[in-house]
Amino acid sequence: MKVLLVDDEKEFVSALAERLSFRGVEANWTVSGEEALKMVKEGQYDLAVLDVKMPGLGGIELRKRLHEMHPQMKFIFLTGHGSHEDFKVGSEEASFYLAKPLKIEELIQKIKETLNR
Amino acid sequence: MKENPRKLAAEGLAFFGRMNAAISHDMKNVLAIINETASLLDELMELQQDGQMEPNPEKLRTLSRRIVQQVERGQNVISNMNAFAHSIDVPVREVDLAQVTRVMAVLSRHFATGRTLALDLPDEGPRATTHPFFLNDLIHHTLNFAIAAAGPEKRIGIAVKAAAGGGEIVFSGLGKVEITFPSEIAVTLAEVLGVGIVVEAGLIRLTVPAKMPAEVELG
Repeated sequence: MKVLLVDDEKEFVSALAERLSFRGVEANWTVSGEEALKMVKEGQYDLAVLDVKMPGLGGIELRKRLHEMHPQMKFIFLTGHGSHEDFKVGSEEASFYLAKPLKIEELIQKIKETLNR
Repeated sequence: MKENPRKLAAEGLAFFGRMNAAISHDMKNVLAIINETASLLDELMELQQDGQMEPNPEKLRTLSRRIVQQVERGQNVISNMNAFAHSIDVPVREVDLAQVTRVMAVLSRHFATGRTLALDLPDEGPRATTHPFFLNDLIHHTLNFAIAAAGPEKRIGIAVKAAAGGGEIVFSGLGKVEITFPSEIAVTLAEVLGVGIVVEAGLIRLTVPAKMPAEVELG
């Protein structure tokens, strides 16, 4: 499985990618939605974990664009918000919505569930 | 104020809620970084101790420094939150306009998705006797409008300078304005505070009097 992590907090997303790699998940990361589009154009990803709120291209719009490029790609949303509104959006447009700070075992469980759907 | 007490009370609560959400979002990001970094540090040390990975003390040091930096970042968020929370302590008092604007700009970064906020604020700005909480609210409203109306460079300049009879807060970098400003609530806040709002090509000026009008002082 190949996963793309997109979050504007570099320290967060780089550490998460490394921790996922220790658990056998191949994860690439970027801090911008625009860069994520390029990465998906150049490489095949099974799933993307997207921060909802990012400068430039936010997670909701990015999901739409990535879905147009690869309709089979799956999505999990991340946010520091945890508001009802975010949960609603996340539930509708992604398989799961997870609030920060994350529990990595929970993320891996959700990645597996999403890919098995 | 006499004409709009309910409107202002409702607006004040809504504003407080918006800022609270923004601050908690910032703090969650700080905690998320600390959580990932500390966990990664722990896992790396375990792998290195077990001989599954070459010892790399420089990497461990980099990660521990990152945690310290995030603690400092969190402290700044809390200092700004504290300054904002205390803006309601004494309804009308003297404030430094540069200081008030700086705190609001930093706390409002959360709303500036896709925009850069460029601050040009003196260490000591012009002073004004005003209602700090509602001035914060007016600055926040104006900044939100400026963010929404940002020009192609997506960069909003925020400057504070002395002006005749008080001080001026200037928001620049606006593009084609399609949203109406000032909004009804911004007009109400400006009236209460005696603040003048000037919308010109590419910028908005808030002129803050050295002393807000006595007849509308808020108790």
